[in-house]
Amino acid sequence: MPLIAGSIRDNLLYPLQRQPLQPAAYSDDAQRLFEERCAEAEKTGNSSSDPYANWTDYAAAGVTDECGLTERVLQLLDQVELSQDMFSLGLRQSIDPDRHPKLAARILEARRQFGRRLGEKGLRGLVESFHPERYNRNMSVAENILFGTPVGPTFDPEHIAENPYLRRILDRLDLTDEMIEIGFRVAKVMIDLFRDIPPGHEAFERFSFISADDLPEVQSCVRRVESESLSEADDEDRMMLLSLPFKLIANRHRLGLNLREAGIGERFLAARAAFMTDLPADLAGSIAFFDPNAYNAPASIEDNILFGKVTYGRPQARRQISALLAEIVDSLDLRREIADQALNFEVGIGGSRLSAVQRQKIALARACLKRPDLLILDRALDAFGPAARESVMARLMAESGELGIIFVASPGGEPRGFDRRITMEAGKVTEHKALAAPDAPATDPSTAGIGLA
Amino acid sequence: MDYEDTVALLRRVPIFASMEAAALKLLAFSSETVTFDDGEIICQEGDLADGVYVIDEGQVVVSVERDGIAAKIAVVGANEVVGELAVILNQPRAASLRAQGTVRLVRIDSDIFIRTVTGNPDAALGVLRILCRRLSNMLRHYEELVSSIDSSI
Repeated sequence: MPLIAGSIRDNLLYPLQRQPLQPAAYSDDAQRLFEERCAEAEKTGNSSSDPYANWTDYAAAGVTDECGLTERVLQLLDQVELSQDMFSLGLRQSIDPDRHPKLAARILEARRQFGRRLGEKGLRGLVESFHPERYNRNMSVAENILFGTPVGPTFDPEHIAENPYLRRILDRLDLTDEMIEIGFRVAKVMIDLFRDIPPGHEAFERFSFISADDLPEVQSCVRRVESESLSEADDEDRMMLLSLPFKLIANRHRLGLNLREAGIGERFLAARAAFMTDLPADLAGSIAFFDPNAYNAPASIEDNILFGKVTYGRPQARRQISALLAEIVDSLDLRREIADQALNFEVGIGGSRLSAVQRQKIALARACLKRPDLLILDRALDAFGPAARESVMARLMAESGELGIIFVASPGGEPRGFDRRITMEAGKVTEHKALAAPDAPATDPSTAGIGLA
Repeated sequence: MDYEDTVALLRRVPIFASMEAAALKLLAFSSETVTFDDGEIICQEGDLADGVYVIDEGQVVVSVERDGIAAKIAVVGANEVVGELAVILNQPRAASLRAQGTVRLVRIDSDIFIRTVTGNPDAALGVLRILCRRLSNMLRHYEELVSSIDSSI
């Protein structure tokens, strides 16, 4: 069964949720409303099952409560060799520090240790930290001015040029015209690079500041501005050009705009200061500013630990930083809790945000969670390499007690450890053979597995 | 190094020298300038080939490992390309690349490189010429080895 759109947790617990088992706790008004809905459902022949009740069958998983279930889930994910992936996915999750104050405090401690260890190992050049008075050359112009993580759509960097508050800041600091001029130069470069590239080419998605759909419009805008002047351009053209420089990352986009020499970095820092200082109360909830001593709630766990941007142009940086981060996470005993957060990762439609191997591992863990008497794997591990398939199946057989397994294998994809092989061709059994040890499981005949080819 | 400097560097490389300007600019813009310190491994023998490297500054040591011993095959310098064979053949790296001194490279993503070369006859011809020249050099080297073995017998 393919994965459903939902979190990893939703997918894993799906087979345990067949009917409501523990009623939801409602206030008086809510209880009354619920009873009315139930009565209505019965009259109309619909289900009165409460979607807000607890449907999880803990007993089917061999546990008694939510904590036990989480522990069991993480054990199974370890068994299918998904622990490292869960850790990586967990780092990309964000947490609410109000709901997880202890975890947030430990992540802040990880941040402090990370910064210190970077210096001790001579790796400071690999991460450019968030400093309130320095322009970060590995962040975009938008990110530098905002100097925080947007909450909700108000300060979405993709549409930041349209934000009235930011526009007022830029006007007040005489930055608007200069940014439009930069945007005009960026537009000309983008047109020069992409005008002959066919729509749908991956280069548009990966590298262009302008989508293939918008390119003709931008070309028209540039032609109009070139024939008149920037100062005479209409509001629509000015807005289009203003949106472009916000995406520039100094160390990544080497467009020859000489921004450093123009001193524009200092002007952007002034915009940052004005943005923070003058932010009205009704917009305060729309951004979480970077504070070295505070957990940044909307940012990921990894971004909270790094508290900076990995430097462009140093390919070894990512590897060294990941190694250091793992070292610190293990020293603070954070790995399990970070992997736990990965259970909230949204997998996308059919698990599209995961690799094929990850999808198959989660499906396998899901099947094992309800402790079946017989597990049938019909080409369920085809995305695995041979070594990974052997390893996962060996662990499954060793740790699954009295589980029977029928493994339907693609040609050449038959793992070891089964005690019987049945070969079928055109719907007929052509071979039915007991497999001699050492291929068979060690001693207990109740753990018999049957491999089908 | 802005993208126009990268265009100028690519023009000096035989594979890209005859490529049309628009394709060259796109290659330059989509590429990444990367720096390695002395001794740093750029890529390891057996790694997946994720890009082609054009050397801007410094030298790159090409080596293979046999029975635990690293054997230097070549030292490649500025305006040369390394790593293109594994990308073209879609195979793991056949050799390791290591920085000798500080090295600055322009890294071109594999997919972008293949698309560009297959979409540009001039670039494809440039690649063919490079590979043929290397094959010719290897054959000559082989003949010299055989000759020296024969004369020592």
